[in-house]
Amino acid sequence: MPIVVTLDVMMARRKMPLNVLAERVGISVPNLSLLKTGKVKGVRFQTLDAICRELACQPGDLLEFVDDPAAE
Amino acid sequence: MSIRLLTLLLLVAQLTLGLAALLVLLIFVMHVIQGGPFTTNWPVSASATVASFPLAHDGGTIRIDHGTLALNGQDWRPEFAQLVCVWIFATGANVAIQRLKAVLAGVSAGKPFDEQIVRGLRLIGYLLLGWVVLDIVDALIVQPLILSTAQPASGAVALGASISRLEGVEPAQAFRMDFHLDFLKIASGLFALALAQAFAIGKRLSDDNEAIV
Repeated sequence: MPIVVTLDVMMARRKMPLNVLAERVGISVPNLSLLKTGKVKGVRFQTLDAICRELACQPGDLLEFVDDPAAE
Repeated sequence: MSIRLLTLLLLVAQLTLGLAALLVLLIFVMHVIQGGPFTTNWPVSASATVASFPLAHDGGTIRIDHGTLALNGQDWRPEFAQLVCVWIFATGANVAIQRLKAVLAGVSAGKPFDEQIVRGLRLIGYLLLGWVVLDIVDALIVQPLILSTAQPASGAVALGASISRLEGVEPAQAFRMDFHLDFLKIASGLFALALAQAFAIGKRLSDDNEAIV
């Protein structure tokens, strides 16, 4: 998939551990871990909103489009 | 009705089916050991008529009682064919009941959108449609076998296939073997297949939902 999740980068910049962010966002640690590793099909706006609020960032800071012609 | 009670009823049905199939097999084995006569039953299109007449060449007797023909003859093939059909039906019904029990267990465990349930419902649908095919095969094999054996000794009595024209005999002495397609079975089979498809869609939606955080 050409959408790469860069949540781990933003979490490292903010020095925010996974379990703390999961608790603040209101989702389980395994689900946040799946999101961090890009193993999910989609993200709810509600979740994105909560993560951006907690990490004080924009959605673009968490997601990146990488064009990969080989994947198509 | 609770799922536990339904499961219990299905178990009773399974046991009853098994016993009935075993009984039919034992009766056939007994008839073989005794050297006949072999018995075969088939519905006939005669309302409340009770009649009994001998077969030609001392081949046995036929008794028609309240819409059922009971053939007592020396030919083992009709009874054997009916036994095979009974066993095919019992095996199919056993598999269907087993799958239905698994479906109920899945639903009661709170996992209705499971791959096993979808496959189970689909198999039940195919088995119900297969039951209709078995009825047709049964009629195509057992009917001719009964008719080849059951030649009435008296020309005043006639016995024919379900689509035959019996002429030259009194209408009260003309017996036609009965067969009709059971549309309820076809509808039930199609309903089970539609339900399986609905559960498959439900499973896909459930998977999608689980993959979104």
